[in-house]
Amino acid sequence: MIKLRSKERLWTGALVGFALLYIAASLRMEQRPLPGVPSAAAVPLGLGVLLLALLSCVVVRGPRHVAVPDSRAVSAPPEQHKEDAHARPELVLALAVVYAFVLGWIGFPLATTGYMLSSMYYLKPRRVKPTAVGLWAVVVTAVFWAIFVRVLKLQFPAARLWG
Amino acid sequence: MGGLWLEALGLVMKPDVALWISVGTIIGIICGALPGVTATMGLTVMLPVTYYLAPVPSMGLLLSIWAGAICGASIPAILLKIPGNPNAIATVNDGYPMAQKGMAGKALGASVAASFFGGLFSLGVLVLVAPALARVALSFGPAEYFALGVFGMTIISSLSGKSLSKGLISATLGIMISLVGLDQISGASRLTFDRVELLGGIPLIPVLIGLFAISQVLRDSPRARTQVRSCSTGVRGTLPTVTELLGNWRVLLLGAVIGTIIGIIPGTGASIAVVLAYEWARRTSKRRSEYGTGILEGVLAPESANNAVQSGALIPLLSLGVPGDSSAAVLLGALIIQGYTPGPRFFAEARSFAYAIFIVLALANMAMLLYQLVLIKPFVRVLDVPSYILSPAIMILSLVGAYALRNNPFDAWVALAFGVVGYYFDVFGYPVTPFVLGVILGPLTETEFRRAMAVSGGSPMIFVTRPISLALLVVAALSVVGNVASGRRSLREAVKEVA
Repeated sequence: MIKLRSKERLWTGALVGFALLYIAASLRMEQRPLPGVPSAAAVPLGLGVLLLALLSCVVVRGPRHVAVPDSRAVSAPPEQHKEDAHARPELVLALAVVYAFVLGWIGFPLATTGYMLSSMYYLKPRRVKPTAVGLWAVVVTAVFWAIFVRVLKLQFPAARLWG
Repeated sequence: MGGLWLEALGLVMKPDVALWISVGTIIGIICGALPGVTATMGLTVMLPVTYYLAPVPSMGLLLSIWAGAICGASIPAILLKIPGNPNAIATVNDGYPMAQKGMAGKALGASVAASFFGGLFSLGVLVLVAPALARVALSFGPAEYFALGVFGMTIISSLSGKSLSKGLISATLGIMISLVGLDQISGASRLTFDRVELLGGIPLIPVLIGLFAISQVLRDSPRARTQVRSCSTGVRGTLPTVTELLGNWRVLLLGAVIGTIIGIIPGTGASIAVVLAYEWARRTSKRRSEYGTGILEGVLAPESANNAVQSGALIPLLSLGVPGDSSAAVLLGALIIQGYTPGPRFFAEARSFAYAIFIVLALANMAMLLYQLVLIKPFVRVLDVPSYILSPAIMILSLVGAYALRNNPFDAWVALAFGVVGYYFDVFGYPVTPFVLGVILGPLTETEFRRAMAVSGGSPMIFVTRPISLALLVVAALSVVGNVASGRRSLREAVKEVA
């Protein structure tokens, strides 16, 4: 809980930073006044100030994490294989960022196979064999390639690394 | 009127429409059956496919995913006691005990039949009410549109969960994001930080993909290694007979009426409708003491209600342009992609397409009935798909889907960024739906506010001197006061219970 609270303070700080940046950008916005019409900067400026005021309410009341009921709350599955540590969302995100970055360098088939392999390997329970992961990664990539490239004719960025 | 229906029928009766309705129904049922995968997520992930489709097939795909996902959620609810999504929370009460008694087939059959009935009932209401409401709204000027936007935003107070301030922060952030790009009134560039990509604004679809699909993958990842589901019950027992269903017409009708009304009220949603329908059915039943032990009535009432919500939610969306929940917001995005803007002018400018949507919705409900009854056993096998395969696959679909909108890698980065935003919103208890509402309604409300001010020569009295605008603003104020009061009452009751 302590960790969550300090993280929430960081999150609130980030939102305050965003509000300040937004206000600064609104103040610098080019003005093209029209008769009777509030300027283009008026509403963004007001919203920036409103966000700061709302955030100050949250800060004054202190971080109170409230678990909002959602689909996962009612669908929590039975857990097994306790020896498997929980995966970290930050790493899952990092893999996706790497995928988005390398897609333009090595092309869709290679990048997708690599992403599927690494993500599935990271998320798999211990009892699943790496060969099964490899097989699934190739199968899923092939299906996606068939759908996006062959059926939908989607143009992916050319793989710069291979020219 | 008859000619209009024939014209709409001509748009729908094509092989590709039937194909995409079938595909959508199967995908929807699978999404519903997978615990944690909601109808909104299914719609969001499949949204990019509609870039490549004509308007009617794209609506066929999305509406059938929505209908299928709502109904499919009853599969794990009945067989595993795990609702596929919150729409099936009340189905568990009697569905699972029925499965334990060896009547899983009957419970599943009843759930499909009730969903079909609820869907068709609310579709009838949609056909009658939406065009009439849109005709009234045709007389709207900038002041009325602004008031409508404000009214739509008051939904935030009912979507804010347990913290109104966090709901308001979420909505404010959404509006702030929506104002990035060229100003529609003066043409000035706003908050673009000299980035060419931002001149057109932050694209809506990648934002939705990030908030609903990528954030869900991130949220589910901690449990991916430990997620093991196994269905030991199996689909056994016979289907319910027509006599059994007709004998429970009162429960079916009650569920459908409650679902439709709840669907029309923006910001409520199917999870409220199913609980209300179940409770009303129980309280007014002669067999109320048997509820929870596995009786047919306990499955029929909530299942009739949850599919009735779908058409109910389409009434404010199509006639006023106000999406009542997150699934309706995604559908709004899909209509915009196809070049249509839901709202008062929708029924005047795209009449045959609007009526084609009604027919597609009817067909989607029929397909849901057919596929769920015929393919129930393969659908049950979906429960065995492991998360370590599903999560990366959804991530790829999301990123490629965002990219495919304009063949622009910037959109994939936008989706990733909003995936992170959605994830931290959930971690710290900020509701996501007000954010989406802010993104959608923000530009409309701001632009019409400034247009109204221009018309009135800078006098804000225009908003209270025009009757419809005044009425909408009063209803908006009442809605906020009512929601805040009801929230405080619930909080007091909760505190009392704890004490």
